[in-house]
Amino acid sequence: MAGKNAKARAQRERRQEAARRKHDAQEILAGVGLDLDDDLVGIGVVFEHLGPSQAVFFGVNAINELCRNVVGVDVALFVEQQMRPSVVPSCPVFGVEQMASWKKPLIVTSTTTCLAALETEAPMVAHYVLHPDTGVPDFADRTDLSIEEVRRAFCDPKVRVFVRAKDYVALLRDEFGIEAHLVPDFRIAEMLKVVLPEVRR
Amino acid sequence: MDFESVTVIALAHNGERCIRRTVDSLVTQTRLPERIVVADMGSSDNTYPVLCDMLGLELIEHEGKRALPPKGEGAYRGVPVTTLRMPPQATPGQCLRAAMEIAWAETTIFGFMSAGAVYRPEIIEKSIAVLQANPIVVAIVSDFTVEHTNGGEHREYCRPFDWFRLLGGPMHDSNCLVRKAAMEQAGAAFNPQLHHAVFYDLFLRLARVGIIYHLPESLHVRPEKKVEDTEAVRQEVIRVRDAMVKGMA
Repeated sequence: MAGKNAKARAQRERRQEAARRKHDAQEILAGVGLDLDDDLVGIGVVFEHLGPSQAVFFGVNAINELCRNVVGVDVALFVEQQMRPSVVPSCPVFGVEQMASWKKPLIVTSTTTCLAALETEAPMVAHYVLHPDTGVPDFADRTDLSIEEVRRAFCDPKVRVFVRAKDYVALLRDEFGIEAHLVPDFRIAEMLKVVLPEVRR
Repeated sequence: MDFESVTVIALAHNGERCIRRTVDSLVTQTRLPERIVVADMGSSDNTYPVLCDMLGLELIEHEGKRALPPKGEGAYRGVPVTTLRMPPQATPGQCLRAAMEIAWAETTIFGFMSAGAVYRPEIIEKSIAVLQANPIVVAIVSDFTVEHTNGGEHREYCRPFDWFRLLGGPMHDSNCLVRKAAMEQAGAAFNPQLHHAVFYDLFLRLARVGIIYHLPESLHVRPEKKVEDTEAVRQEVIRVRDAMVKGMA
């Protein structure tokens, strides 16, 4: 009798443990806008370089955390200038030329990488604006971008704009009429929450 | 509670009207600096007498004449302040080096701020919070607001700086907090031969040893300033950049 009870208790505990794990997995996936029934998704992140910079520090650390915690999201990095990384990524790194055949959503980190991403077959480009660089030439800070190019990087129908400070949301909305999502410190999971459901639709 | 020792260095040149409000904004910080050093770069107006007046420094006898001391120490609203008078021919690099030497041993973080700007009370506290949370960050810059002569103002949205961005063009504001250890790692702190691009030169070297963090908030207000000799500034920026790129090759 005692043995039968122990067996039933063990079975019940196994079921509870399975339910708990399923619930945890659901919560983790819900954090990036996915469900347990969803297919494996891929996301590309484009950096100008992987040397020491604020974008790389926060970006690669957030990507590494995502790779560690979330199964079901494959991340690939694309880099314009190949160099030794300041933060070692735990996902594959490709040259930006490999992006031409990329058909999954892309997260870009500058105006130039955004323009490059718009030339690909990516269904959506998430433009993470570290600073609202409007490309206005200055006496020693010239940029070759025309206003049409800057406009495309922010207003193309494929582009969703993300910024890291609420002041920047206000600036883009009030001065340029661009709606931006607030995501501090390159929290990639919060960006995926916006990007993935929209791509799925 | 942090264990940093912050020394703020302010360079003043013909700023008799605004030096007082700058120092006022520094001594009302939510996290006070351990020391403030104000270096007067050979002003022709009353900047230095105003500073001495704030600290209660008195005239001294020098070669039969009565004059203000070339260096003075005192406290302003409880914060130790050192004033330093540099000769008019001294370059910004020389002034900054002289000011840093005063507090080199005791300091872990140097704040470089321009006399003329007004700082928000939380600038030092917010900067230290980032430095403590991220050991790889070596310097902090922030956005700022420019005060126009006609009373208006506009917000400047700065860039986060890294090596490649700096090669494209220098920053337009030199207000920053820098780790002393990073300055040691990046080589000589300031080039005494430079007249204009002294912070650009430092930032280029700092960008090789760590991250220059940009706080996306307007944390100081500075008056509108016209660059007098734009071409000279541009030439010096290009010279510094080329020298740095050649040195790395």
